[in-house]
Amino acid sequence: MESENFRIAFGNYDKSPEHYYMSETNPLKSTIFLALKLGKPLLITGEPGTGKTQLAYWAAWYLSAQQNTNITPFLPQPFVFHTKSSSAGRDLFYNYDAISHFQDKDGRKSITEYISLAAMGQAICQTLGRNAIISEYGLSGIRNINSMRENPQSSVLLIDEIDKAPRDLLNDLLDEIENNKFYVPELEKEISRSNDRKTRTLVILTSNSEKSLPDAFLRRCLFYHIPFPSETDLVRIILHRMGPFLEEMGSNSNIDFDEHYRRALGLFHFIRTKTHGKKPSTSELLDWIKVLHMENLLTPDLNEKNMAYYPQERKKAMQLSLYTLLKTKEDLDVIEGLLQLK
Amino acid sequence: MNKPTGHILPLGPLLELLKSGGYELSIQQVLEIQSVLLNTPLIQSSPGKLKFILTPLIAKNEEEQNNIYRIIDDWVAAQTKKTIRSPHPLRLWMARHLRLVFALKIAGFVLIIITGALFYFLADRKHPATRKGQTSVAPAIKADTNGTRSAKPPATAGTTPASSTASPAAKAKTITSDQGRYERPVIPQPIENNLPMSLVFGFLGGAILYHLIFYERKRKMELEKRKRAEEAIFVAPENEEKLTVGRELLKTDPYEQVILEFPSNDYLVQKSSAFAGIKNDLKKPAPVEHPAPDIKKSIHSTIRNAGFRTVKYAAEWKPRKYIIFSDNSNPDAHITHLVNYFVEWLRASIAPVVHYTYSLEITLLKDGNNKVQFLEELAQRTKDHDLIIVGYAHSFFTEDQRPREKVIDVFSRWSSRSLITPVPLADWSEMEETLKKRDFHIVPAEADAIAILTRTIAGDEYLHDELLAKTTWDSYPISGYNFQSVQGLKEYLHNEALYQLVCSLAVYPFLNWRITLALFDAVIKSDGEKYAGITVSYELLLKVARIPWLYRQQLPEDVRLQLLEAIDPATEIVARETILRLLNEVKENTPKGTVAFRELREQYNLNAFLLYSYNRETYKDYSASREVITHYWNNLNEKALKDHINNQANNLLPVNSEGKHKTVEEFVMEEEEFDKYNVSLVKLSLLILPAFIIYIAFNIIKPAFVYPPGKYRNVSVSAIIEKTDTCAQKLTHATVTTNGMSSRHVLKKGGRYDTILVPDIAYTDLGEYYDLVLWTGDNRMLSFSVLAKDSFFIVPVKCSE
Repeated sequence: MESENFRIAFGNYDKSPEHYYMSETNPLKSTIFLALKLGKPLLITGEPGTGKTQLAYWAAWYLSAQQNTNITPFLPQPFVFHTKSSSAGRDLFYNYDAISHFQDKDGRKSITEYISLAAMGQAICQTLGRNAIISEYGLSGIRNINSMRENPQSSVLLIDEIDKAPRDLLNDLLDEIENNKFYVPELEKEISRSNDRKTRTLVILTSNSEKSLPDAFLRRCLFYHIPFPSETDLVRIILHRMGPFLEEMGSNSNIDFDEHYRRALGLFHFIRTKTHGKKPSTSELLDWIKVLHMENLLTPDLNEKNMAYYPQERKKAMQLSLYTLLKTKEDLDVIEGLLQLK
Repeated sequence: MNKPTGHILPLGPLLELLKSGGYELSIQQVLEIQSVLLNTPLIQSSPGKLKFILTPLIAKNEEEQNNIYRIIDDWVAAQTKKTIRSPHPLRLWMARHLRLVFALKIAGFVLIIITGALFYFLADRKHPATRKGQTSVAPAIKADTNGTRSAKPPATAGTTPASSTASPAAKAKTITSDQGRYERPVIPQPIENNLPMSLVFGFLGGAILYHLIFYERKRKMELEKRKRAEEAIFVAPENEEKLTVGRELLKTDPYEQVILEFPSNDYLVQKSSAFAGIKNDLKKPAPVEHPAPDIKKSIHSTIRNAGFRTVKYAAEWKPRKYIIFSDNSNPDAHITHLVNYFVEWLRASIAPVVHYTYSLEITLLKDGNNKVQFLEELAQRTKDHDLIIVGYAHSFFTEDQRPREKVIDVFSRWSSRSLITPVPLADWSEMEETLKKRDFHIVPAEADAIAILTRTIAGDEYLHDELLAKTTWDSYPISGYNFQSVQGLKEYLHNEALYQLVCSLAVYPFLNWRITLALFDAVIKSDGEKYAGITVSYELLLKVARIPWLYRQQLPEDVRLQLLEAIDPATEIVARETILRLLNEVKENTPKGTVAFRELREQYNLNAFLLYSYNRETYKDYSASREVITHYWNNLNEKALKDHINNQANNLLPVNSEGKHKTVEEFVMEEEEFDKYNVSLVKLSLLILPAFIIYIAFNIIKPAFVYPPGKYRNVSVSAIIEKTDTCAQKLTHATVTTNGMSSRHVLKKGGRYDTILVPDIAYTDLGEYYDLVLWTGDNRMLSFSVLAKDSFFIVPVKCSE
């Protein structure tokens, strides 16, 4: 096992948006444009690891690269809000550092200095641009004002794991989505998004369906469930995402990985169908493929029926690789038994 | 880029279809759909992508997304389906009257031959000379040689220059002649090459056609054979055991697929309005009895209130949490599938729902990962949940129907506990009554009854028996019917159309929930009039799923036989087409060589064959099944189907001369025999008919290369020498020069007439000449240049002393 080889990284460097695989026929693309067209938020569900969060990064990257005179250019990065079970409606728009403010007993600082814009607040303000926010609303003191662009820009807003949110947040979100403005009682100011129809905000919400969302909320969203990718798509995803890894590994590009990956996918599907607990998803598959690469297990005899005849060392390597896929001891026992790795 | 297909899809019916499928469509959504579609030329260009536009606007969860995809796919397929061009009526008629068509073919064959012969003989009679070689001398003229001269005036007179020449020594003795005269113009025979050319072209063309057709046919057959071998469908494998109903008995390899995995088609189930009520009720939050203070909100409010203490409480309402136990004792039973469908719908609609299944023993439950959970632990852990059990009341009773007190006590830890039982209200026994007394809310599985239950749960109310009885006024009992006879079944279903739906289940040997849904849907859609008002609804499926043999998942052979005999042909055709469609769908994903694939192949061949035998033209794609059906039929282990067909009662097989439906063997044998005759006739026709047809055609059209204009066959003419008495003695011979060749003819001494036959002389429109020279014994001569356009040239010759 080459686990001590620190040359090999498992970082996020291959998760950059340009490596996100989106086929031309993928309905997600048309759904994104539909959401933009209708100005409705897009709710994305899917198994963990199917790329829901990555989709927002991809959408921002993709839309920012588009040249369209009918729309103000997009920011290349999305504004991200990570929902917590304790999140309140206000947290979407701004954060007020009440404690610091309370400590400022002399009142030397402007109240705006205790306020920082949260993801949705940033997205709304960005439709106006920093200059307008300062000149029209006098919000120059806001803590993160400098992270905004001077001029109006369209943007992608990602509200991650919305199903974690308490009901109040969803109701608040509904109102704000409809009205496109928010009120900051500390400043006694209501900030509205730009009236320029060319400047858009694409709201992408992700959910793991752990909790039901109110019907009224669902009615206001477009919905898309990312299905588990097909065999062909999986191969393409692997080829797309493994590029940087293979470069780093210095792997021989002459090898026909397509064939190897198909074989590995056959085994992956076998494991997936026999798993009772959390089924391995795309991200786990990618990690597993990396391990297979490192352990030189991508061989023509990679097959569930051949494992029993592997030499002991290979069996052990294969056993270890399963840790990237399986999350429970029961599943590990079952799969190891089926593959006769013990 | 997709080319516009030109399909105009009326969206109204689709939206109606979605509404009837239980999907709520607000006016806002309809407007959004319209606005999007107005800007998207998708409907024309790529109707298949319509689902990607509509679904995000309507779906609210994964299940709905998949269902809407399927609904739209089905709808688009139905709208854009190239209307399966129903075969031309003539072709259909031909397919149904094979013998008559064969007789007609033979008649046609004979007719062409007779016509050819007639043309040949009639043409010959028109030009008798053609059969008599080159001569055109009429016998009547020959008679003239005996001195009877024709009194007929010459047809052409004085046109032939007569010249008399003599050697200088014999100038004094001369032969002279008046102008000769011509009689009987020659009827020219145009040159025609019809017969040889027809024969050559005909046989050559026929041989090429024969080669092309049979070679191509052979090649096509080989390709098809290879394709069939690859698909492994229309092939007859050897050394395979018979498939039995207990298919798993054949399982030897742990990786081998035994059961065919038909795709889920739960989306076909139509939900009534009661479902919307159930969902709404179960989504209603529950009141929080003692709300705790919200510290964060309280601090925030206190600050905003300038430091005056303001206590804020957490929400006074909390989402309800549900725990569902469903009976999985018989996982393949239709009722289990229906229950699972309902539970899955609940889970998709009102997440989070914790779902456990039990099999026979309700105290041992399994979660989605098949992990066993004990009832006691669950009761402790989830007592704040609303418990809904979907299963039979007998799980709470011993075999002798005494309550299992300990079990019931454990359940009493859930303050809200309900039981949805598949047993109809009318059949409820003491068991249900006992559970009611133990504070279980019990309702039958009808959607309306469940709606009452959920309303009760949402309102934390008491379930009133009167209300339940009122809602389920149309409840029907299941006991008292004999489901082993179709009569009992008919009485239970109490509807002929519904009965036909159930009959359609008999076309497949195994009962399968997914097949049932597909069959019901296809049969209902096939005849809107007959099945008016019937949909694949939850209620309909519940009624059907309550049939005991559908619970046991085993259709008794005698019942199947009765159902097969009762099914009407139209329903059977739709059912068999549906089975083929389903088998096609799973074909790709079923590994070859497995028991499942063998079942697929066997059923594919059977159904394809029966459809082909019903209509060879419409189902000609299945013709290959005929070649292998004997293998599958002989190895078939379906007694009911075998008896049904061997009793000559299957409506799909054609009728024999005795007026009964053929058996499989009879049909195959006759077809094979008939094929042989057909092929022989085709071969014979290919070799013979082209020559005849060409001959007839040339005769009618008379093309220049067969009948060259201005070209005639050579003719024979005669020169008749009419001698005076003197000449009769003196003229000794004559020479005829034609085509550069001379011939000498001895003249009769003493005869008044001599006839010289000039054979084989060319006939042209301008006329050919031949030279006739008469000679005397003393070498005097008289020469003529004669135009060969008349049969006879009569020249009177005088000789002076």
